[in-house]
Amino acid sequence: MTIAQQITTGRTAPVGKRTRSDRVLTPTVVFTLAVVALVIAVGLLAPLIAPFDPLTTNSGNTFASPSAEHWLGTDQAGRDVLSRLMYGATASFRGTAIAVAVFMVIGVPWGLAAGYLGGPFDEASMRLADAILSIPGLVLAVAITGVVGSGLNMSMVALGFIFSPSIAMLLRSNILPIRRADYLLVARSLGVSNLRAAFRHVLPNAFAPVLVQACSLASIAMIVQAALGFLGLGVNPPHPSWGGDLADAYLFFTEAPFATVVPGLVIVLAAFSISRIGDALRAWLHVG
Amino acid sequence: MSQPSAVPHESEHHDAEPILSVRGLQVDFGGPHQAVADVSLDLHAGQILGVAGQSGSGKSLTALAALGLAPTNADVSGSIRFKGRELVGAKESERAKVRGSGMTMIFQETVTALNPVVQIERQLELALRANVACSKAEAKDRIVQALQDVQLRDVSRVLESYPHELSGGMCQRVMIAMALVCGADVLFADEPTTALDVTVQREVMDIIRRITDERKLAVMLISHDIGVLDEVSDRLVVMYRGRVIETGPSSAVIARPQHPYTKALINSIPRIHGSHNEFIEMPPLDFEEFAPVDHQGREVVA
Amino acid sequence: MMRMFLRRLRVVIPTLFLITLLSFMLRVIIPGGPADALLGGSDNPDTIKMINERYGLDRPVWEQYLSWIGGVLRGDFGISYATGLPVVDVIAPRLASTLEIVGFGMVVSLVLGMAIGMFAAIKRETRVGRFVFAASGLGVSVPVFWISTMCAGIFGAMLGLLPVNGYVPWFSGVSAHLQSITMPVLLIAVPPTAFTIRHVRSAMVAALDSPYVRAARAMGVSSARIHFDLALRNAVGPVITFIPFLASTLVGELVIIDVVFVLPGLGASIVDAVHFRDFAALQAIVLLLAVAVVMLSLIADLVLTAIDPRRRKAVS
Repeated sequence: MTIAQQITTGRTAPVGKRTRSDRVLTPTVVFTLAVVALVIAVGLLAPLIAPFDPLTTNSGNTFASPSAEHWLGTDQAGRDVLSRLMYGATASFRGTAIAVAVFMVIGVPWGLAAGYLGGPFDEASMRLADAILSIPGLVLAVAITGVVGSGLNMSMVALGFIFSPSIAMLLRSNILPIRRADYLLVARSLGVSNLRAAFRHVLPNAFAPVLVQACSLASIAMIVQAALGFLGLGVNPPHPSWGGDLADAYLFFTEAPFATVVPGLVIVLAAFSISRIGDALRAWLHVG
Repeated sequence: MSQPSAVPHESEHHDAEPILSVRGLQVDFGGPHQAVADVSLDLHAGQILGVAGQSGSGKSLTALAALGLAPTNADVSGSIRFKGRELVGAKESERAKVRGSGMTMIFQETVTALNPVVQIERQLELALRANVACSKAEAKDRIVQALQDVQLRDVSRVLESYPHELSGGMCQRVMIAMALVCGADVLFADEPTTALDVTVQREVMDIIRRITDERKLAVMLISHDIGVLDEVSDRLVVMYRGRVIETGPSSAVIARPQHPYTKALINSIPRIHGSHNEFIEMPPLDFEEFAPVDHQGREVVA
Repeated sequence: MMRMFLRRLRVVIPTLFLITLLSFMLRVIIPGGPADALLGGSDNPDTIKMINERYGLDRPVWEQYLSWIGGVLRGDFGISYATGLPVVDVIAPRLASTLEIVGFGMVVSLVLGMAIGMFAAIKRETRVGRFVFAASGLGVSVPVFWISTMCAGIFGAMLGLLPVNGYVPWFSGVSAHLQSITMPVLLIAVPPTAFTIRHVRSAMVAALDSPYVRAARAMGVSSARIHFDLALRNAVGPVITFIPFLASTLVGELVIIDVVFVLPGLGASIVDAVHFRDFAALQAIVLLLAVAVVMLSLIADLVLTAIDPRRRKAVS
């Protein structure tokens, strides 16, 4: 790249320098990290800090406005909205964690094997990835959940399975060029076994983009989970979940529009924060 | 016109007025160092001014600033006069008029400097029509003429080709032809042969020299390789960190380099020319300690 | 072109085969088997046996697959568990609304996405350009079920501007028909439009920063020409490869849109099939949608080859 090109494309600032830290920890990133930390903390501590039981109904006090007692008011059954949101965070956090765990546990070995072994396994498994990815995600999630039975855990395992090809394909494509790199050759000539060489040398180089991808998939998982809840296929009612509560509240939109707004805002904020962390990670790890 | 007297500028005691005259050019990105700190040079019709220096020395940016194509975050000051008209501070519409028909530029990129999905004829036509109003038939004539001027054989095949179907050398000739059809008086050539094969380099340089003489172009030829410049340029400018540090007739600068940086550049010319194109190993010196040199006869004292 | 087509088929055919396997697997992974699921836990062995015989579920799995796929190839997707009708008859009436919503959604996403994406690319260094880009980031991650319930609630239930209670066929009145699909189309297009904006913007920025655009500028070619002739031409290719992804996104959102706006489409069919445990219909819909996406990518590839000289050369 000539300097003229660098300058006209603005890819490299010719003078002045930006250090790592001040580029990564922008106020937005700090804010999004705080949001995610809050969701996790509230999710874990909901039974301790929630002011009310999320299932206790009170037919005499439905759609109550926010008050000192009920900070966010009550829903159509007189349940405390804040408490339900807090317990909803538990479901959301747990569901997302399950999905992430499943797509990493399936996707990483899959991509590693496909990229490293190559040959027929690679070919066949990539066709399988194509096949899974060609089914619209939410459709497959609904179908699998419908078949194996609704409920948070099973639906999130299904979602993790659906997302695993994205991880596998990315990891595979990152391994392909590295596979031919010199240092791997050196490692091999020193008698390091193939598998050890894979773990020692290939993985760290190929992993940075995978982490970034995992963040954006986690953000999508959180939304899809809420969508499944909205369709009545996630957390079984009357247990609290953001998506399910939103669907319930929507039925009473004209009476209490606020009840539909709040869970939605919480979902957007949490999901957007996770994806922003992915962006920050991208900058920090210098992933293109 | 006020200018720092300590800095030499490329201003021969020439009979004719320069076509392009740059004085005290500064380009600033707001960082601690100026990308172009203080550059003065003149381009004359029928002459090639060679500009040598490493990447980052500000030579490309000088050309881009003259064209008004410096990045939008760059602060350009000083004076750039094209045929007596001041361009620094001029309106963008006015500068756009000068591009193409007045001044133009070719780059190091060869194949990628042409649009990959458009046929060569259409691209030449686009450049021509951006600058000259003429009939369809006349356009075709001009395009064919230009391609013949840059010694492309098989013109009809080239016209129908896409860039990826041509070699790097052919693409660079097409770019030069494109500059010719624009009818520009000033041509900036930024490392035009760096990406090319050695034998092709020579041919392209010869073409640039020939069209300079025939069409009385004023050419600024930029290269990191002072050896290449020595062969075709009339005068030389050596740039270092955004400043002109040595200037004069090519033969004088090459034969009697005064500035240690120029000496280092000349020493880096491969012994058997063109056998390999090694980049300059920089000696651990801060060349800014040394005074700029003007081969006009006097040594400038800082 | 033919060779390129054949080479693509080598990839497409195994993928299609695996899609049929995946769709079929839906039946296999039902805990306790389809009969059990159908009966909702009835333990009468005679009933189970009867069901199994009726739907051919007593045969080995591979045999079931072969007979299923054999039927699918002849256009016979089996008998719907819930209605006892052929699955085709259950699905066919659902296509009209789905094709319309997804088709219009695609048009809106592409037209708006390309226009706004180009704008954001050209204005990328201005505040407006950055704002549009940031807004598209929000558009990508906003859940459709939330904005659609909000819009349906505000513009439909509260303000009564647009109907939210179902699909009016065009023969029942063109105006009523258009009103009934306006909100679904606009809302289903929100994330795909945002995706397209980002995609077009990055393709345009790459083109605008490319050596050939800089060279064209140096040759005096005007900005308007560069934006609408040079750069856009090079941004079209990436958009075409993007269409299958858009289609897949739109179909995924259709599930939500159908439910929120009570539309009689395939999205609603999926949810119905799940609720009524109609696995034959479920399999058929999943298969159809996946095949549609694969076929779209094949077509996109062929179109791209037809318009991009580099690809043409690579395969000829």
